Amino acid sequence: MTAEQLSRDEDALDTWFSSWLWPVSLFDGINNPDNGEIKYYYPTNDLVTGPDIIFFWVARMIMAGEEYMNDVPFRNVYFTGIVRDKLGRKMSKQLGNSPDPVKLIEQYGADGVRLGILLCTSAGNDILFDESQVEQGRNFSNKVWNAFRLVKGWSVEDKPQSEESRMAVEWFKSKLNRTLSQVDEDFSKFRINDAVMGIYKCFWDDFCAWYLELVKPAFVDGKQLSMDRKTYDATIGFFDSLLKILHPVMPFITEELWQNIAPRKEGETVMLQMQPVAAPFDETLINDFALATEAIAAIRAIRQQKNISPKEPLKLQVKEEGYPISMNPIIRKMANISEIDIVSDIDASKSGQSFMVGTVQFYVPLDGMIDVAEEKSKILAEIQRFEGFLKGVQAKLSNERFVANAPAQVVELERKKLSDATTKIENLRERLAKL
Amino acid sequence: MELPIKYDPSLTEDKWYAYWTEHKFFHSEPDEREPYTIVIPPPNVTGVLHMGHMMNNTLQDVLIRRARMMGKNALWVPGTDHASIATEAKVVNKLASMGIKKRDLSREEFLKYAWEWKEEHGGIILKQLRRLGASCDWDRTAFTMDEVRSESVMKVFVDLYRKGLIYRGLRMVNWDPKAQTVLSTEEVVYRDEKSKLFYLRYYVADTDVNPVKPTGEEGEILHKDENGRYYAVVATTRPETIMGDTAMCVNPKDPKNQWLRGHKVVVPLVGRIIPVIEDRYVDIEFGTGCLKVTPAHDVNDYNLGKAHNLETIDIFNPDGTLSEAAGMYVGLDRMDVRKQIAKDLAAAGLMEKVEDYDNKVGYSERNPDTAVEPRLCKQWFLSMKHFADIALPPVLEGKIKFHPSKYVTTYKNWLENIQDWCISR
Repeated sequence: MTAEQLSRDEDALDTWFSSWLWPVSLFDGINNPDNGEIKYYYPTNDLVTGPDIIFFWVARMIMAGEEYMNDVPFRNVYFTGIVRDKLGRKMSKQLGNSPDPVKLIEQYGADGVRLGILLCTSAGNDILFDESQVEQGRNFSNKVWNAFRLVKGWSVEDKPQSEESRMAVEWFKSKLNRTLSQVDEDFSKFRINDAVMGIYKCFWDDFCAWYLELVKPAFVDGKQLSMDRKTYDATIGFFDSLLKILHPVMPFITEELWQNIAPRKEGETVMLQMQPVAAPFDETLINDFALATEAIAAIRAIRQQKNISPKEPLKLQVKEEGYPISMNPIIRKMANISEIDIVSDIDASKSGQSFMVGTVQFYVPLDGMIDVAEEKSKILAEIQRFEGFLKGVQAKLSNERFVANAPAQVVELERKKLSDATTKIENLRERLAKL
Repeated sequence: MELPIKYDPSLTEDKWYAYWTEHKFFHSEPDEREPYTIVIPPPNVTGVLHMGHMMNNTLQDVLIRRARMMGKNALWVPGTDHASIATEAKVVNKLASMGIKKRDLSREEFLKYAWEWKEEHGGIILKQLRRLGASCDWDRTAFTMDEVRSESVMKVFVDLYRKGLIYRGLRMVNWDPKAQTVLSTEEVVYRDEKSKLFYLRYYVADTDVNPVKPTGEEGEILHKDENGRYYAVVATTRPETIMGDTAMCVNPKDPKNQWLRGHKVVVPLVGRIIPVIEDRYVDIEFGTGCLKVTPAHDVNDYNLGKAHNLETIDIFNPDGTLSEAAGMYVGLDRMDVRKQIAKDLAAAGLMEKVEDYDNKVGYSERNPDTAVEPRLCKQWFLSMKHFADIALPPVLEGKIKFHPSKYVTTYKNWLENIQDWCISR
């Protein structure tokens, strides 16, 4: 037979007959099995794909890999879920429930969209997508940005480090290291959403809500004091670490800030920096600090309840059993406590409020803190103010033209104002009665 | 440098992406470091980014960026898939707008247009991936039909053929007689239809050597004409296919038709004598419980034919007209034959009755007024036993880990019940 007698089959190959070779053919391993690239890059590490093509594609790649390379094509397969809308419906053009990712990026920023999606993704589970998730992502971008501007706005001076700053630095170092080791473990088990959530919380709760608040220099006569160099350098170091940890999740904003956190040369990038390595951490310190934060939250609640300004210093009694005395400076600063008495027994003879954190007993003496007459007149004034407000809202809502013509949301908002103000007045009356 | 008060992604994203690519930070070459590699699941070259891609590629980018920052030589290889039919449909549409029909083009000419389409419109999705920050090594962008990949496919096909793992066999496909092409399952649109159910007489052929013996059991239904001749009644929506009948089938459990077991019957008008076979596949409740078996023109009949070693007679030409093999109505369109044969059967006294019947009929997505014709085609198959044997151990032994691990069972069940892979379309 000659070549001229042969004709090509009219059929086409199944599309999977090319993609089943993908991990091998990308490195030309079929045509040149001994080339340097295939030897270096094969087997690949991780494959991320949908379970709907486990047979069409994943299984067949394993077959082709074993047949032609005598080895697996990858070590791990991460099966994603299906992205559904918040009602659990599959996204489709017909339903019009599938947002355009490029438009989302334009609206919320690529980093915001990435974070929003990652937070609600777990291997093998469908994700119920809601735009509020990428909004959460954008809010986090703003949080990171604002934290950076806050830190960069501080002035530095060579002066001794305060005790609370020293404690804060020690604590956050431990907290960061614990987060790092948890993140490492989550990644090794492909619990990517857990890892991302861990980083998110470390930045937002630990770093912004506690650490920065603790070290933030106070304002005196409308002017912010300077910061000691030791604390400042530590803070910049923490920020630098956090940017690196955040980079794989939010590549753009972290590059922008990393380039601004210190002088950089052309060609430098955060994306080629080494990830911080988890160091040992002080578990006791972390637990003690957690106790302190709970106590602080309780004291803040008492202030609110008793209408005591955060600017007004309070005293605190603590029963010594189980209380980590090292937390004194933290509680002093964050709860504005002038004096902490460590006692063997709480003296609750005068007016005050007690609370417990775990098994530790706290007591806030309030004797003389509340001027009954003043408090009464304050509350009465408040009630009067809310009643005036209430009248205005009621007038609006009884205007039929307003109710009929205003957008439903606006009317709804007015109704909410009405019920909120009513509740507030009730609460104030209750407090008045107790005095 | 003073930072703006509010974070504005539009001021940073393009700037840094350009910086990363200018400095070739995503590019990888083999070196002494440990490699970390991800190959992208290639999206269709015709595709545009949707939320599924967004999630999938964000995950990959997180993994690859993290590995890069752990000191590994990280490589994420991007590319697109030709996805044959999806791309072909786009090219055919473009050609149609230019007044060109695919069938008027040679393979080479068609491919030329296909490549032109790909260069002009393909790969939008890869540009969109840049927007989300994907750190792919764009210098390595591949296409499942580019030179290296095509050559690999060809080589593998030949290799597996030589190893005796590729063979040709018959397979039922969805055929569009107007476009004269095979349709994928996704391209068949099912519509509710008011059809007719024709009840045809299949006379018992072998009463002289094998007399009909009624069982007399409860539920038995005998048919006898005015001359005392026994016949079976077959209900069908497609009387035009009886020229392809090669058996009649009853359910061995069906009390109505016990008396037909072991007999032979005559295909009405056609005169061919065919056996009565028994198979529990037959629905006792449908029609009379007697099924005509036409292996060339129905998927289920084809499977019955395989199980019972029946002859296969393909009575249609590719354009939906009747072929020489039909022996009757040759050259007429199948829909015209349906009307004509119904009249002829009635005239010959072979039509028991006709009823209205609601059923679902598959139509071609490309030609909405053309009913899809199941058709047997010679196809290429890859024998899968060997591949199942080599693909199971790495997953069971944990050399490949699935996350979540519940998919290991799915994988195992499939491989243990694997069917040969039809690799042609």
